[in-house]
Amino acid sequence: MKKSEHQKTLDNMVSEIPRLRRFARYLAKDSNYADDLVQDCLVRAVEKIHTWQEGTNLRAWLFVILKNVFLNNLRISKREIITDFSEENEIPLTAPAAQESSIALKELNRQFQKLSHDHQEILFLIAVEGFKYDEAAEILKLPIGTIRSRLARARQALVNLSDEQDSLDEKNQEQAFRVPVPALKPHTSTLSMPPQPEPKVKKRGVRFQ
Amino acid sequence: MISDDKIMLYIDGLLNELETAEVAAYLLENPEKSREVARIREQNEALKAMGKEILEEPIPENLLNIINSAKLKGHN
Repeated sequence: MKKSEHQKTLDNMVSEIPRLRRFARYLAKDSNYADDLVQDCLVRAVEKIHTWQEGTNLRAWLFVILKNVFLNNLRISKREIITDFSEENEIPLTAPAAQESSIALKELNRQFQKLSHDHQEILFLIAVEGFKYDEAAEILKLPIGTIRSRLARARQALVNLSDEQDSLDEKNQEQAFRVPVPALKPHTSTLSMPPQPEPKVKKRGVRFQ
Repeated sequence: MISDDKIMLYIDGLLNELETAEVAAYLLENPEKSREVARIREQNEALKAMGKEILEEPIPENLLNIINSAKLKGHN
C-alpha cells in the first residue's frame, strides 16, 4: 500500500475511535482501563497498518485488534479479576436518566447486564454496533452458524427477561390497587439499584470482597 | 416449522423474497412467535441507543496523538 493510502487509513482510524472506546468500555467495564485498551489497540493497528487490506471493513479489523489486546492482557499480565462495586467505577453503557426515554433504556441496560457474557457480546456487536453476521463471526472467531444460533438465543433471552419484568410490574400494580396506603411506584426501587456489574478487570488488581 | 435462526434472518432483512413470504405466512399462523418477533424488533431499536453518549464524548488527546505521530512519520 502506498504512503498516501496509509495516511487515509489513519484518518479513517480517527473516526473509529469513539466506537472503539464504547466497545472497550463494554469489555472492560472501567473507563480508564478501557481507554488504555484503546491506546494499545491503536498502537498495534499503526504498527500493522500494512496488513490491512483496502476495501475490507476497517472497523471490524480494529475491533479484532481491540478484542485481542483485551484477551492478551488478561492472559499475559495476569490481571486479576476483581469485583469492585463502588459507585464511581460503575460505568453503565446507558446515559444517565435525563430524558423520559432513558428510563426505558436504563431498564433495558439492567436486563442486558443479566444476560450471559456470550449473549451480551453477540447483541453488542450485532444489535448495538450493527455488524453483519460475517463480521461478527470474524471478530469472535466463530463459525457463522454459531453466530446465528447464539444471536437467536440471546434475543430470546432478552425477551424473556423483559417479559418477567412486565409480569412483575403488573403484580406490583395490582397490589398497589389493593393496598389503601399510597404505594411507591413499582419502578422506583429497581431503577435506583445499579445494574449488577460483571467482575471488573484492573491493572495490578487487588481482590476486594 | 421454521427455525429460530431463519426467523432472525427474517428480522434482519436477510432473506430473499420467497423466504420472507414463507416466514411472514408462518408468523400469521403462530401468534406466540409473532409476538416474540415484535418484541425483538422493539429491543433492536432500543439497543441501538445503548452507550450512544460515549460516542459523543471528545476523543482523549493521547489517543489522537498516536494517530497524529504516525501520520507525521509517514511524511518523513
